[in-house]
Amino acid sequence: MSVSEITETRQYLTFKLGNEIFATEVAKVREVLDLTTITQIPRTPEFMAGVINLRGSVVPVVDLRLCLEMSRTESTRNTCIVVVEVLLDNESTIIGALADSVEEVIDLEPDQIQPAPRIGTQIRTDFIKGMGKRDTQFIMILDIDRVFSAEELAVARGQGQDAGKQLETVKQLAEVAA
Amino acid sequence: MSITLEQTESLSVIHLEGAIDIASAAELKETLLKALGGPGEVQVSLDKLDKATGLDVTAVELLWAAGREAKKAGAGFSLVGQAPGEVSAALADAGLDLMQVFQGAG
Amino acid sequence: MSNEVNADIFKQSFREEAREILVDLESALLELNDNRGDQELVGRVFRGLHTIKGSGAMFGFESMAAFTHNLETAFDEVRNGRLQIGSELIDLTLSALDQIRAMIEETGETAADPAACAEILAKVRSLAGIAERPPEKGKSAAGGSSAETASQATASGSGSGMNSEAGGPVREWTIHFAPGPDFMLNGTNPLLLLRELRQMGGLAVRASMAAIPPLAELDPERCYISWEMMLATAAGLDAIRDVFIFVEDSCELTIEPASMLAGEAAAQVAAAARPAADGAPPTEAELTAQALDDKRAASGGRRNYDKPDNASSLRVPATKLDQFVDLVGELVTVQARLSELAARSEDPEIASVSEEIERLTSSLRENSMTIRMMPIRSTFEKFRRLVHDLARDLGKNVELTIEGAETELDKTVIDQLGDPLMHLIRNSMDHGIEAPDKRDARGKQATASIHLSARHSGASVLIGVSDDGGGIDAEAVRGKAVERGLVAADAQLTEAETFALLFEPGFSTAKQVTDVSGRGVGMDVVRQRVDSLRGTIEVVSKPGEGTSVTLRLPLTLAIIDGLLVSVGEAFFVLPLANILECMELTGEDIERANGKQVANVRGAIVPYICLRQYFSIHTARPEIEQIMVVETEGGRYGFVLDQVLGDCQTVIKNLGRVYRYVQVVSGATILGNGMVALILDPERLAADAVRSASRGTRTLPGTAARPGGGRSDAAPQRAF
Repeated sequence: MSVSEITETRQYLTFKLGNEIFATEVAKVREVLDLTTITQIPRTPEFMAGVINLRGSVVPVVDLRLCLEMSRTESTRNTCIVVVEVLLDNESTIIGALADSVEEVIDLEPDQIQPAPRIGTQIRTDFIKGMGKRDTQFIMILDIDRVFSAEELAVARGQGQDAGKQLETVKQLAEVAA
Repeated sequence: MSITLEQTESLSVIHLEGAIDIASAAELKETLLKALGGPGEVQVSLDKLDKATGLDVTAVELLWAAGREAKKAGAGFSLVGQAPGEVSAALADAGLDLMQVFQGAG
Repeated sequence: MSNEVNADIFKQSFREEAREILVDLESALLELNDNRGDQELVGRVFRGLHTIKGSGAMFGFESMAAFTHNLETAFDEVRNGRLQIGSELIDLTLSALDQIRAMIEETGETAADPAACAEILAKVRSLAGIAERPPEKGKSAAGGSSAETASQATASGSGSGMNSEAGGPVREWTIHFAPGPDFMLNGTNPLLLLRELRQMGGLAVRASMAAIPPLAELDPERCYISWEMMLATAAGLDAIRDVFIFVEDSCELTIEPASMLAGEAAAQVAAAARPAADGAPPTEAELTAQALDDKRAASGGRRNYDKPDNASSLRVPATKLDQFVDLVGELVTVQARLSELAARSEDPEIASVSEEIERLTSSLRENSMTIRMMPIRSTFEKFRRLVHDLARDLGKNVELTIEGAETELDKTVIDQLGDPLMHLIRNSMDHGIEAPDKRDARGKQATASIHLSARHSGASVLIGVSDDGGGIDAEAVRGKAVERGLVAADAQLTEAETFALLFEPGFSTAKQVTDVSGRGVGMDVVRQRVDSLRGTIEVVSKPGEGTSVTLRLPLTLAIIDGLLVSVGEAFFVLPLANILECMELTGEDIERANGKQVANVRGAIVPYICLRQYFSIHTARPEIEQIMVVETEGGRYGFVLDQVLGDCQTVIKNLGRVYRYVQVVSGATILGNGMVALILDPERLAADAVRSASRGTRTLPGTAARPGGGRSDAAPQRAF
């Protein structure tokens, strides 16, 4: 979706990753949870943090910072899990996203949103739907469906599998076999 | 569908047009209440009802309730005009013969 | 508007119902093809068409209803002996069913083809000799006996000649029908229901206006009117009930044979004919609630559902059932926790409560499992059509036989079985079964057979697809696999291993690509699906005699019997079915094995996989670890872990789409303390460890190790 498609006032939930403020449409957000125990799934890419027990359902959680090519999320008192409902292969799926802290819900008019700059940001611009401005703060509006799209996850999966934990295990097994 | 109310000092006429069904039930209720609140006799005109869908049960029970109330209050309440044959037949099939249902109310 | 939403939900439930009816119609037609004189089958087809038409019209599928009406008429002619069943009529009706299906689904892709519909109609009409006329004709004729008055209410309408259900004597029924509060919101029109009833025979109707509140308090979107009816018809109770099939949940409905209550009914009608005392208009429409109560009291408070001959089943959305099973699963988990606490507290009162809860939970669990069980019949039946059509297309003569259709298994499993079975059957039809001339040359029966079977075997169900075709040429399979690089040219393969190659991705023995199969996809889909159901495939084939494929599937996907184990702070569940025994592994044992990851299990050398390393868990190793010995298709393996915490019956939760690529974990479960434990798939875990290791410099320890390479005196601790 391009910024030109945002034609009406919408509400956004803002949250922090590092020092940057991000936002996602409130309509996509199911709830915000305090950080809870995340069960890691072995041999998956690092940005896929694991799964949590959300009132009896098993919900996957991703490390949003790693998705956006920032450093890994460090758990602090303010760390939250933003539970969003996204479309994966046209199927609605519940996913938790780690955020350093959750800020507030704001209204943004379409004219307060500009296209994402091509340069000048460390974040992958194809995940950014637009830049909102509030007072002097820039707010990056995430294209959350895109971040979690199957394609992106698959790409990451390929990288993760080859470069990550698997190799380690192979090495270990090979070592002990020697 | 349309429900219009013509009100004079001695007469309130409700014109029913098209299909009067659950979609217009709330409006019919309001109109009936308004007509009954008026000073004179109430007439409901059925001439312009739709052949296929006409009146459904929600409309019939509203009219019936209005008729009962008018009778209690000693006011006149009557169905005027001829509903399309298909409408009467469908209602009669369900034991809701219009003339029979309202015979005592006029 | 919420009404529209409701109407959609209603349409959806009609669709679900109609799909089932269509499947039944299809199999009835195909059976009819073989037994053309069977009146019962003709009746079944007629009723199916009638129900689809009637309910379709009610839910706004008018064109579908009009279309179906012509088919119904044709079968009415058949029923009355005026039309002979021939393959033309059967094939026409089959293709008509396809169009009906498309009209019901209303999706762009499968939308009905108007030209095809017109053609079918023209043919059906000319076959049945029907003049072109709208279905309403018949209805208004039926509606002729309208406006019966109270005094006529007990009169039989059997003379009307509209007893559309042939056979059986005309009986009289009293029907009480009171729409519930949300009845109208579902988009249903009671008038149409009554009209439908009227079509079944002679009907006397009385509407009760007693429940209508004062105008100001009246909810205009609710139907307060209720009906008392007397229906004289040759149709059975089920047929009457079918009229109300989509509204049963949202209304009060009693259908009783009038003969039992004839006297009472007459008395009531007489009583009701008296003007009510409260000064309501003398509308004669006051068959009051009072009269109803009297009647119920007289019949001992008995309601329709007390009767054994009523269909006492409910239609429940599958998602609700899933939620229910989930909740039961959670209860099972919490109950396990409670037992643990009770055992620890040593309080006899708590212990006794805990035992009681354990007993209840266990029966609840068993009950909830049986609710999800469904016979596999409809899945099997729908292949009759496939076989019929394929046989025609391929110019082969094939008969499908079905055995064990009543075998019940978990709905989820059944839902997933359609595709694999379809591929297997197509494969048999295309590759397995020979062309007629070839069969003739081999001295086989001209009509080939495909046999579908289902039966229980312990906690599994066995689904078989066998044919009496040419069988599989093991050498050809092997040659092809070598050519495709799936196995080494000098590999020693057992027959089972060879046949397993058939299910490898990209393997296809078809000499030419046909429309039916042999596109190189299909069989690997079978394997994938069966794997995801945690099942196995077995192929037995004799050249020249036929092939038999057996799928072994778990009865249920929802719950697994497992062993809860821990490594560091992580919890895992291993399926009990795979576990052979458990023993200790000490530091000494490890040293003695000279660094090889093998253990001596009562004389046998078993390679093991250290879960701590495999899952990169960075906690310190305990002094004594445990080895869980599991049986897999690739042999025995040990999984090394820290602690065995105990048995658990656990509910399998899907990891979700995001993690669908994860192979070694088959799901997750939530423990009593709220933690998530991963359910391991020992089969895949072992295979993956072997693969990972062989991608390294050496093969997996132990597969290369010779007996005696290491000695472990670790004693078996627990045998299963």
